[in-house]
Amino acid sequence: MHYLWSMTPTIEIEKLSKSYGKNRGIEDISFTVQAGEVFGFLGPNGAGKTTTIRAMVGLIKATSGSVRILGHDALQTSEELRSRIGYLPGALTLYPTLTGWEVLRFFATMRDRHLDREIAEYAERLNVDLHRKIHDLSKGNRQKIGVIQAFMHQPDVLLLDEPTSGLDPVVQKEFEIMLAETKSRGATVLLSSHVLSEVEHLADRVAIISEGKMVVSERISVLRDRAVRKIELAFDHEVQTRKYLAIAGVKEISQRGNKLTCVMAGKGTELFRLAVEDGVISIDTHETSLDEIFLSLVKIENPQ
Amino acid sequence: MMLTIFKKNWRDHWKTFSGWTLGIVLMSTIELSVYPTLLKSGNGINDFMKNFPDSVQKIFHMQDYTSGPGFISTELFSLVLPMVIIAIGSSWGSSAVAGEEEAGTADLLFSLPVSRQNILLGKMFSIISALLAVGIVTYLTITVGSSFVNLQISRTFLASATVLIVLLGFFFSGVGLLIGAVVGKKALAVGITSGLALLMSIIYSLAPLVNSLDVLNKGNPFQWALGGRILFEGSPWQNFFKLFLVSTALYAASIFVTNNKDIRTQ
Repeated sequence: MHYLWSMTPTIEIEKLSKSYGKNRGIEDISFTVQAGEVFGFLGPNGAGKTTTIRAMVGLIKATSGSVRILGHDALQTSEELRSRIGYLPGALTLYPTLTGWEVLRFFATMRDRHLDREIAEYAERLNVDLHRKIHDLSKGNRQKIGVIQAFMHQPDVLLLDEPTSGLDPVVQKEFEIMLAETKSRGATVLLSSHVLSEVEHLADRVAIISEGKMVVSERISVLRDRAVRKIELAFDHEVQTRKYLAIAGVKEISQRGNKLTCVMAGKGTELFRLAVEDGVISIDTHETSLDEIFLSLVKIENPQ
Repeated sequence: MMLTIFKKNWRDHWKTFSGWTLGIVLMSTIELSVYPTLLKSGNGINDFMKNFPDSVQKIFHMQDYTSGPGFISTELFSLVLPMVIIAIGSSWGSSAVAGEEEAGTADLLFSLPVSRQNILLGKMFSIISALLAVGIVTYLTITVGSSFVNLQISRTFLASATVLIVLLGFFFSGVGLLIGAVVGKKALAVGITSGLALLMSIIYSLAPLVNSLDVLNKGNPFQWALGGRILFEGSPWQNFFKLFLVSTALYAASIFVTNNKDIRTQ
C-alpha cells in the first residue's frame, strides 16, 4: 500500500458541483482525506452529503469539479478503483427475496472474491442471522448486512453514508471497533452523519456542509477552539471589566457582583493570566458541545 | 460476473416465466386437441369464417382455417403467442435497469467493480435466453402435438414463424429496456411499452383497410413478424434481419443511456 507513505491524500475532492435544477444539489465541495484517517462528513439532512458520496462512487455524474481517490479519477468509470472501495448507501435496499447469505455471496461473486469466512465472521460479530430472507429482517439487521458488504473485502477506502442509522448501541460499539481495525490497517474512512456527537469520538477531522455548500473542514480540536464558549470567573472583590473586554477573542462580558461571565472564542490563556493577576477564586468553563458548534457554524453560513 | 448477473436475473423472473411458459404449453395443447373435432365439422367452419370481413380474415389468417397451418396461424400465431412473448420481453426489459432503480438496489449494484455495460449485458443475455427458451418450448409443443393430430405443417415454416415472434419479443424487450433506462420507473416503462405494442398492433390490423396506414405499416415490427402467410410460405429474410437490427440497436441505445445516466435512488 504505497499510498500510505505518499504525500497525496487518499481522497481529494476539488470544487465538486452537481446541480439538479433549482435548489437541490451541491456546489464547490472541496476537502481532502489522508490515508489512514477517519473523516467525518457532517451536515443536516438534505445538505448534500449523499449526493457527494454518490458522486464519489460514480453513481451520479458530477456537473463540474474533480474527485481523486487512491490516485484514480473517481468521476471516470473505474472498476479497479471500485474494487478497493467499500460503500454503504444512505438509503440501503437489499434484494428482499434473498437471504443474507445469498445477498452477501452475490456481492462477493460480483467482486470476484470468495469471502464466506469473512462474511461468517462479521455476521457473528454483529449478531445477525444470515439464513433469514431480507424482507423478514428488521431495519437494524438489514443495516448490519449493509455494513458487512462494505467491510467484507477489506477495502482501502470506506465510504459510509449514515452507517449507524438503525443500529442498537451494542452493535454500534462493535461497529466502532471494526472502524478502529480498519484504520489501524491503514485504510481510509469517510463517515457521514447528521449528528456530530455520533462521529466526534470516531473522526480525526470533519467537514461540515449545509445546503450543498462547504461550511468548514477542520480538525475537531480546532473546531472546539474556534467555538464560542462561556467562562465564569469568581473573585473576592469587584474587578474592572474594561481590560477583560480588550482581550482578543472575548466577545461579551457581563458582571454580577464579584462574578464575571465572559463569552469568548479561541484560547483562554490571556484571560486566565489576567484573572490570576486579579486574584481569581474559581474558574468555570462551559465546554460547548460540538453539536452547538455545528449548529452555530451552519447558522453563521446561512443566515435565515 | 456477467454470469452471476445472468443467473440472478433468471432467479428474479423464474416464477413468472414458468407461469407464462406453462400457459403457452397448455394453450397450444388445448388448441391442437380440438383440431380433429374441427376437421370433422368440415366445410361448415370454413363457411362460417368467410362471413368475417376480409380484413379480419387476413389478420387472423382465416382463409384456410381448416388446414393445419391456417388453424395454427389463426389460433396461436396471430395473437396469443405474440402477446405472451411481448409480455415476457417487455417485463424483463423494463425491469433490467428501472426495476433496480425503483427498488433502490441499483445503488449497491452499480457501485460494484463491474462496469454498467457488463451488468447490462448479463441481464440482456438472460432476456435473450428467456425468449429463446419460450421459442423452443413453443416449437417443440406444436411439433410434438401436430404429430398426434396430423396438422401437416412444415417444420421449416413453423420454425420461421416461431423465430419471428421471438424476434418480436426481442424488439419489445429492447423498447422496455430503453424506456426503463430513461424513465427509471418499471411500471411506467411497462405501461409505455405495452401502449406502444397496442398502437403498433392496431396499425398492423387496420393497414389492410386504410391506405395511409398501409404505408406506415411497412415500418411496423408487427408486420415484419406476423405479416404474410408465414406458416404456408415462410417469410422473406429481410423481415428477420430488420427485426434483429432494430432490436439490437435498441439494446445498444440502452447501454449508452445507462452508461451516461445518474443512477436514481429511493
